[in-house]
Amino acid sequence: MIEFARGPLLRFALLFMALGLLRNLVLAASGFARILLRTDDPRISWRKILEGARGRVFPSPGATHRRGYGYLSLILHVGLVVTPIFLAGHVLIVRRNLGIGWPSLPAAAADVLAAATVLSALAMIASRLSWKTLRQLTGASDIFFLALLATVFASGFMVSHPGANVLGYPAAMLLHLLAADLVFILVPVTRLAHVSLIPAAHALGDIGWKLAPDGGEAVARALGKEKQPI
Amino acid sequence: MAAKPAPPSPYPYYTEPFDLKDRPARFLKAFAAILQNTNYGPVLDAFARISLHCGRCAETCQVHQATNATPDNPCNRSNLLLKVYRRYFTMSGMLKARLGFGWNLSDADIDEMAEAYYRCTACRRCRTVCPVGIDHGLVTHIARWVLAEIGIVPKALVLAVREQLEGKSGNTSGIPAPALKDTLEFLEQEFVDNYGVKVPFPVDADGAEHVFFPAVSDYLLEPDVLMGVAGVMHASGGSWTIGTGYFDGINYGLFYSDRMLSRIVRKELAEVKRLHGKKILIGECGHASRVAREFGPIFGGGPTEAPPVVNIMEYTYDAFRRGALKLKKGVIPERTTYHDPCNIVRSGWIVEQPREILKHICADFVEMTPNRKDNYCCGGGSGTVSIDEMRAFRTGTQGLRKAKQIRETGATLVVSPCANCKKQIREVCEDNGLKNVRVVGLHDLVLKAIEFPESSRVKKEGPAPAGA
Repeated sequence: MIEFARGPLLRFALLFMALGLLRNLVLAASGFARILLRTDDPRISWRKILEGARGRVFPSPGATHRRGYGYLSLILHVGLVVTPIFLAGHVLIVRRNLGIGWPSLPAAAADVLAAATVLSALAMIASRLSWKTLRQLTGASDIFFLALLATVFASGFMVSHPGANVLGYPAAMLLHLLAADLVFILVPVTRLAHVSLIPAAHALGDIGWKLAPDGGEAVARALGKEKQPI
Repeated sequence: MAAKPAPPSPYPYYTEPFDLKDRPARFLKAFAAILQNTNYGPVLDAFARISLHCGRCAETCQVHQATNATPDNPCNRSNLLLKVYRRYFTMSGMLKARLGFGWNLSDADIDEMAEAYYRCTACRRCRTVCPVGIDHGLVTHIARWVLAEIGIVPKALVLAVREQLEGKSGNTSGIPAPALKDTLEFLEQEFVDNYGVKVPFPVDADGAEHVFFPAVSDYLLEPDVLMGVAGVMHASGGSWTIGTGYFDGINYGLFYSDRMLSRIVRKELAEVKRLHGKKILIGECGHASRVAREFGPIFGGGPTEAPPVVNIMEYTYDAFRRGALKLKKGVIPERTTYHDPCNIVRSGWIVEQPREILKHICADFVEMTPNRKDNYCCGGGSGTVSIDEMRAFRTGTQGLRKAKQIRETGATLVVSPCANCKKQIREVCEDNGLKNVRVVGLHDLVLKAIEFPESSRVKKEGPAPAGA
C-alpha cells in the first residue's frame, strides 16, 4: 500500500495537480483576454495592482479586532511552501528520481517549521470555532482543509522522528503519503486553487471594472427589455 | 390630496411593485444574460474558486463592526451570489446537482440577497485587506444588477435615474434649465453683495476648457460650494462652463445597473461634445468623479476619444500650487477635520490635494483615524444615502463608526467633499449626538480664503468723495 501511495498514486496526484493548475491558469488568462478584448479601455496599471496586492497579503494594520489569525495564516503558508520543498528527505527523493537537486534545510529548522505549521493549522481551527466573526464563515470544508494539512505535516514529522511516532512507521508513512496525495488532488479543484489563482484574483478586482461598453444594452436585448421604459 | 402610501415592500427599502411570479427562474435568466454579455464571468469564476473565509474583510467593515451579524460579513454576503454562480454556472455545480447534491434557488435566497446587498455601502474598504484580492464591492455591484432585472431595486434610486434619463428636467433633482440659470444669476449677485466681487458662472460657453458637472443637488443645497468653485475658476483664470443641456454629475446607475450607468455617462459625454469642451470638470462628488474618470473612456469610445476628467479639488490644488490661486492662510479658526469619500480615495486619486489646501487655510486641521485609503465610509455609500426609509440603519449602524471617528477628533467642522457624504454625515451627526458639528464642502471654506484679483472688485456706487 505504501508503495502504491508513493508510486502510481503520487504520480497521478502530482500530474492531476499540475494539469489542474495549468487549466486554472489558462482559464484565468482567457478571462483576462476576454475582458480586455471586450472593453474599450484596456489600459491596466500593473504597478497599482502589484502595490495593492502586496499590501493585502500581510495581516492588515487597519484590523480593529484581531490580527492573530492573519499571522497564523502567514506562518502556515511559509511552512506549507518552504518545508516540503527544502526538506532534506524530499530533496533526496527528487535527486534520486529526476537527477536534480537543491540545497536543503538543516534538520532542526525543518522540524521547527513543520511543528509551527501543524500548530498554526490547529490554532486556526480553534480560532474558527471560537471567534464569532470567523465562525460565521466557517463550514466543514474549512476545518477539513486545515486538518488535512496538519495531518500531512504531523505524520511527516512522526516519520522522521521515531521517538515521537505514536503510530508506528508504516502507519505514519501511509498516512503521510495518502494525505499528501489527497492535498495534491484537491489543490486545483477546491479553494486550495488559490495557490495559482491569487495573482489573477488580485488583478481581476481591478480589471473586473473594465466593463463591456455595450454590456448593459446587450443584457436588455437578451431579456427583451430594450424598449421598456425605466 | 393625501400622498399615496408607498407600496408594501418586504425589504428595508421601498420598491416599485414587482412581479413575484417565478422569481428564481427569472433571477437565473437575468444572471445568465449578464454573465454572457458582460465581463463579469471571469471575475466571478475566480472569486468563486478561491474565497478563503479568513474574516479580514469583516474586521474592516464598519457595518459588520457595528452589528457583528452574519449577513454583514462581506465574505458571507458575496457568497450569496457566488454560491448561485457555483451551483448554476459551473460544471462542478451542475454535476453535483445531477448527482443529487445540488440545491435550488428559492424566493428566500433572493430575499436574503435583496436585503444583504443594500446593507453594503460598496465602499470597498474590505478589498484593501482581502489576502486573495476579492472585491466584495464588485460582487455587490453585480448582485444588485441581477436583482434590478427582476424588479428589486430601491425606489429612491429608480426615481432618480428615471427623471435623469426620461424625465423633463433630465437630472436627478428635477431642476429645469431656466431654474438653473436663475440660480446662477442669484449666486452671481451673492458674490457682489457678500464679497464685493463680480464672479461669473459661464453658461453654455462654446469651446471652454472645462465643462462642469457637480452633483446637481448642489444647485439646491450647497450654494457656498458652487460659489467656491466659481471663485476658484475666476481667480485662477480658468476656462469653464455649465451646460444647460445636461448639468448633473450624479450617476445612480453605478449602484444598480450597468445599462443605466452607461446611458448616464453617455449623456454627460454628449453634453461635453455639444459644447466642444475639452475636459470634464466634476464638482465635489465622489461617485460622480469615479464614474466619469473610470467609465467615461469605456462608454466614450476609448481613452483617446473620451475627454480627460478633472475633479475640482485637483484643479484647485493645482492652481494653488502653481500660484495661480491665492488663498489666505489660517482663515478658518475652528478645529477642522476631513472625510475621504471612498470613490476618490481608495484608488489613491484624491488623497493629499485637499489636505494641502486645508492645512493652509485652517488654523487647526486634524486628521480622523484611520484616514486616507483606510478611511471609513460615511455609511451612506452606493446610493443608500438617498434611501430615506433606511435612515435609522444608515446613521445608527452604517454610520456609527464615522460618528465615532468625528467625535474623537474634537472637530466642529467636517469637510466632506461629496454631496452624498455631506448629507449622510449631517444625518449621522444629528442622530449620534454631534450637535455642534457642522458639515461643509471643501469649497465652502476655500470661498472664505480666496484672494480675488483687484480687477474683479465691484466699485461701490454712491456720491463721489469730496475733493475728487
